[in-house]
Amino acid sequence: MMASSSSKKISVKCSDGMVLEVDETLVNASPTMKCLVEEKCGESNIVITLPNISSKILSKIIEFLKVDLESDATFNDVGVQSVDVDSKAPESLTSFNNLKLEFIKFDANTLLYLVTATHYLKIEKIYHLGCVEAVRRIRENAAK
Amino acid sequence: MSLRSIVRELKEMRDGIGSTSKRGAESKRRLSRTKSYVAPDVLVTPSELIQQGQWANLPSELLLDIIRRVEESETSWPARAVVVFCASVCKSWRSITKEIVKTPEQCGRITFPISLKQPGPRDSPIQCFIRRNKETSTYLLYFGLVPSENDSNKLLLAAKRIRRATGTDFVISLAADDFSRASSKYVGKLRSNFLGTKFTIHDSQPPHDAAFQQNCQSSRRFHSKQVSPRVPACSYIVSTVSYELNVLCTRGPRKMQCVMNSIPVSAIQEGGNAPTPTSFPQLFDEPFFPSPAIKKKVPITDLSSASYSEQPVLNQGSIEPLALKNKAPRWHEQLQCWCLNFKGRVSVASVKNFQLVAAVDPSHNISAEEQERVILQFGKIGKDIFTMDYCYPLSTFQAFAICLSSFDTKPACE
Repeated sequence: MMASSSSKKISVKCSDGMVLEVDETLVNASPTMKCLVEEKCGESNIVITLPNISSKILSKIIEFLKVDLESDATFNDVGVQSVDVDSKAPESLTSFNNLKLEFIKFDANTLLYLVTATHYLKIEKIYHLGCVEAVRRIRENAAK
Repeated sequence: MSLRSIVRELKEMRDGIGSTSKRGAESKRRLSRTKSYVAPDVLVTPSELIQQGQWANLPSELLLDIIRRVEESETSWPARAVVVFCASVCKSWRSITKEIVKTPEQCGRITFPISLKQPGPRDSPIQCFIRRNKETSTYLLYFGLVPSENDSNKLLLAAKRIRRATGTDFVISLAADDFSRASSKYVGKLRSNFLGTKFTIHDSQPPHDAAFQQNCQSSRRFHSKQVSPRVPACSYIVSTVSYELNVLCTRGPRKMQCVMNSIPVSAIQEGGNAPTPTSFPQLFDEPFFPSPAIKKKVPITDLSSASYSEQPVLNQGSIEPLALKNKAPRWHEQLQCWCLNFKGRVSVASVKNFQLVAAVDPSHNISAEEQERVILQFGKIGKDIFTMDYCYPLSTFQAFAICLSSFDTKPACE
């Protein structure tokens, strides 16, 4: 909703038939989706299809991507070592930790779909968080 | 359905088939001290697969990544039980976990029961300790430098001494409370002659390398009370240990020699490898009989009378077995005692203490460094507590069995 600039929107069709309008910057965060878009570069109104990902899961992923990119943006804008970076740093860390906490709340199936989807979409950071949470749950179960 | 409930269902299914997992406060205490088994290789039926839910059917690439992360996250016991847990969730998890887990030789970690029969790491020894219980005649082998305060050490193997008319047997098992030879936890045994000067180590499974089955004779088939096909019907002599008293000095250190029938000398030569079994014998298969050995039928009880060089084992086949000997201690003039450098792992003087190195001659082409390397070290650190450090090419089972022989040698030897 809070697009920093008037970036292009890409229509993404999910497995349940729903079509989500996603910012191009977010779409490009996934090498898989980016590739799908590039294949259709000639078309005026691009629609890419993700037959194995539901709209529920995709919207969750987009939500996380937004948080992630916003925290990254503060680093990108400013550069190496400056007062501004320091003041922004704790914020980005908190948002990353918040993401981690979000995963703990998911039920087993949602976690499974998220991990599979981010693996397919090649979104490293979120895939990694999902795996970490899966491992944590396996350890918890083994201990019982 | 939560992951927890899926997993609990799977566990219940396993319990029904007859595994060792239990729930409740009692099991929690046991679990922290005891082994975690890989459930026996039971084929999963289609209805069970459906119940396992989607976590079992993850794309293998994904499953590989997750299980690999689990394996890397817990390298030491008791937390490493989670890796064994992954192998027992379902068939697909099991095959991937087994693919990921490396042998002790490669990574220095013990994971599954079969790790106990695989050679140890080459560079640094695996350090364990043995706790003796004189009242029950049991010996428990734990992983770890010394007993921990909270008693949470990982039990690797257990042995019970059984005295017979013609000698002593040490039955070796995966469980401290089950020494039945018909049990699936039976791993092997150590048998002594009457005088306690010669011992044979019997493995419940044939040596991994087919070429070595020439060197290991099968013993008589013992008849178990069960009709179940799960009984190991044969035992294979994988090593012989012999002690000789020091003729020059009655109070001097004894001489020890081990012939490892299942390990070739080439294992310690450059580029050599020791046999590495990858699984326990299939429970539902016919037991394997190495046919030449059966026809020869040399009974083991003859070992007490036969001298060492007459054993047909050494002449059979063209592969020379590895021999180990104990490192001779130095006489310390000032302290007036025999000394060996145990690198701090042994603190109490005892005739039982020893270090084994390879016994080779120049034709074997073994480097001086390799000849000096201590392959097995055993010694006392307290009342009924002993340390055992071993490395390649011995396995935990072989090392433990050799150490057990040290407990049994009679005064005739001292």
